[in-house]
Amino acid sequence: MNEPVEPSSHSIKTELSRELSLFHVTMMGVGMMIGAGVFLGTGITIGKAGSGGVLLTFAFNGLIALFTALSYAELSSAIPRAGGAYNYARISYGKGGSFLTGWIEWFASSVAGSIYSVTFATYCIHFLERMGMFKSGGIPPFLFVKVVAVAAALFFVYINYRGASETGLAGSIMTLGQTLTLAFIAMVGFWVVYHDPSRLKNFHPFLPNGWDKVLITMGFTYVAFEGFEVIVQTGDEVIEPRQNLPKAILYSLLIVVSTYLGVAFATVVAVKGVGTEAWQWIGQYGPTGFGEAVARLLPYGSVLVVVAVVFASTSALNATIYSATRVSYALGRDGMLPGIFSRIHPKRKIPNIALLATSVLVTGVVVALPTEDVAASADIMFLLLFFLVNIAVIKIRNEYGDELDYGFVMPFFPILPMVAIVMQIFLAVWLIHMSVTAWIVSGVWLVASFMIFNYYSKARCTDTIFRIVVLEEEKAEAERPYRILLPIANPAHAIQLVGYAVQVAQIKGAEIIFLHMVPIPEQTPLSDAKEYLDVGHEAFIEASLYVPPDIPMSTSIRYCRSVSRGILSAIREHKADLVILGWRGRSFRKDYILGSTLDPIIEKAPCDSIVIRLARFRTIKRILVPVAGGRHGHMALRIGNMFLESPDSRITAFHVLRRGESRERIEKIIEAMISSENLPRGKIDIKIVESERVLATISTEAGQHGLVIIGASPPRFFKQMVFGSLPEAVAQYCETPVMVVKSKKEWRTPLTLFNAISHKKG
Amino acid sequence: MTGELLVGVVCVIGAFSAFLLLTFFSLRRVNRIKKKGLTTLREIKRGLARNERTR
Repeated sequence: MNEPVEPSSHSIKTELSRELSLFHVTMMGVGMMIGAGVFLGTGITIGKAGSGGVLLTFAFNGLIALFTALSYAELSSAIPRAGGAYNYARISYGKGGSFLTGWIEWFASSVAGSIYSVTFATYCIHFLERMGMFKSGGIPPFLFVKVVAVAAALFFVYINYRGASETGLAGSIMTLGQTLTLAFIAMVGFWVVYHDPSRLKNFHPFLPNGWDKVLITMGFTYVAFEGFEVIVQTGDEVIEPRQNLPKAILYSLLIVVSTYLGVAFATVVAVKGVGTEAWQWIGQYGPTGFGEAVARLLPYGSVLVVVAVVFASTSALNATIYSATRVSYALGRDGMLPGIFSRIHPKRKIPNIALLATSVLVTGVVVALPTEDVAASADIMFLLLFFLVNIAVIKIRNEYGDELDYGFVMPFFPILPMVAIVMQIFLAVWLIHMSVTAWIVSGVWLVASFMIFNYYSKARCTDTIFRIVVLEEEKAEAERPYRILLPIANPAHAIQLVGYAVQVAQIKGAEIIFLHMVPIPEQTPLSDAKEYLDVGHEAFIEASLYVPPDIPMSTSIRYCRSVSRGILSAIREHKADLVILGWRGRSFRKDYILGSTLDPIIEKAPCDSIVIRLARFRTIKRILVPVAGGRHGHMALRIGNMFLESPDSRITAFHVLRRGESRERIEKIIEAMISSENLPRGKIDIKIVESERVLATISTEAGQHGLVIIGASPPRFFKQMVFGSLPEAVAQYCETPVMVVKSKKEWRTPLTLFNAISHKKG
Repeated sequence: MTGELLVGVVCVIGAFSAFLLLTFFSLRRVNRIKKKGLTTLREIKRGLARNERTR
């Protein structure tokens, strides 16, 4: 499959350059995650949850973050474009939801950048003061902090302006520096314990304040694991994105979780002979607890910590500016924000206006807002973002999976994203209790997004290539409670299928909805769609000639990039009870059973479905219905009864008896099926034949009948079959016309329930 | 070793082990999908399932 192209967009003149390697993007992710969180968070976490609590916090958070990281990995491998979560929302939630996601993402990333620049400035000035190299001279220190923070932010704006390669290189060098520093601290911690095992006593008591404090610190530090957001932003610029993006996400999380655990261990064992419990001693210093502990572990430890903080906060600042810029670029690209946001500098090949807007946001927040509450609101935004991404990964795989090329699909789908969703709800709720101001700031930003979307973006934003467009629709004057959807591709197929639909419609008192999906080439604008409507009109006219006037008839002509998704959408929209599909009798694709259009429809249709191997409808005297019980077998008998037109026509309920099966039991089952469906017993013959060659026996018997109607086999785990192997084989090899039927009721797994809910909402 | 310490240590080791296992399992998937040249969801599902069966 080719890279998606917007059908209605203007031709793209300038593109981002693809020059970031796996190492670059991995380091960008590590840089964003380690940030300043580990330095500030470790001491606070130890103070709240204790020596063991800090290890539990990082271990559990790492595992939960991995679930969301896998969602990002899967989505980025399938949709590797700048914009990250915004792109996924654009496909799964439509225009409004995607704008909200992009808006949230831009704010969260920008504010995170502000926090990192303030952290950098705070530590720099603190360090210079301690070294006696700086005196405030009566001016409040926070003013110096603000000035240095703005200068740092502008410096990294310039680095980003220099282009992707420099961004990656600068970020990579700084991240490598900070990671090696932290790894060194962790190794010293293990070395110290090796030579002095008595330091392990610092872990006693393991959880002095109980498990509930661990849950609190998990919420506090969870956002320190959000670096995969910046990795997916490099989708347009990374080499081999389908493989490198998932790898970078996983590698970066592996590095970060291992580093956090090592550093937390070293911090705890660093303390000895302080007179109180180690966790209390570290906790009393709060955010600087980590630095104080490391100062006791190493000579010049405090200098080392300052160096590490400088590296960490600058690399995180670099990554967040990069990430926020790409989101605003994507919003501009799709018309959600003014088009100027998508302008790419012809020489630098970077979105310079989006970068400028991001720099205004980052520096504006630094200057105007209190850092702590804004940081908490960034936490809420990130959690909301991850929540949306985890839902998007489920929706996209189920609804659009057949249209995308994946480089990675997550294991244990959809259990892992569901667990992540639950945990993110829990953590977001907890943050309400932490900062009311944070929720007010978040609320204001969300209200702003609704206003901008309604007054600006809604009318201007471009359509996605995944959109379903109704080109023409004509509804029947009298609606009926039972609706039959009949998708027709060309006039010849329409004539072959319409007789079957009319037969069912007359018995059920139903209306028929004719659907034609227009095959507009991807690069053709939708405004040219009218040129492609003629085939649909011709098919409708041909079909309508065979529909009696007492049967209401609706028509719909639609465009969708994927015909199967378009048909499924029409089934849901028209609330069809039955869909009748024609099949040519062969599939051209190895990975599909009946074909790339039919397979997804039959698998996902929320209604009964009938697939007819294309043959013109005629009155049939003898119908063969192979049965073995089951829901689909019931439906096959029911449909067979509908086609008993002439008084002498009959159904043969047929079963191939295999070794070990009881003839009496099968007879009882078939009798029960007939009576439960209230079928005319006098018109049904039961025939049971002993054989081990089921397909050959059915094929032979089919030769004496005018039509074979076979129900789908029950779904089997670990076997990707559309109907089940036997019905497919019968449909493929029988020379007699074959109809395969599938009843809508499927096994209710959590996923099918989720799908049902999301389809209803959609 | 107290019960609380034992439970805590087991939880830390368990969570980190689960994290490592899932990470390496996922990384292996990326490599296998690339090595086999699989792209569509159906190809990947079938390709990986076939590989699991033959192992």
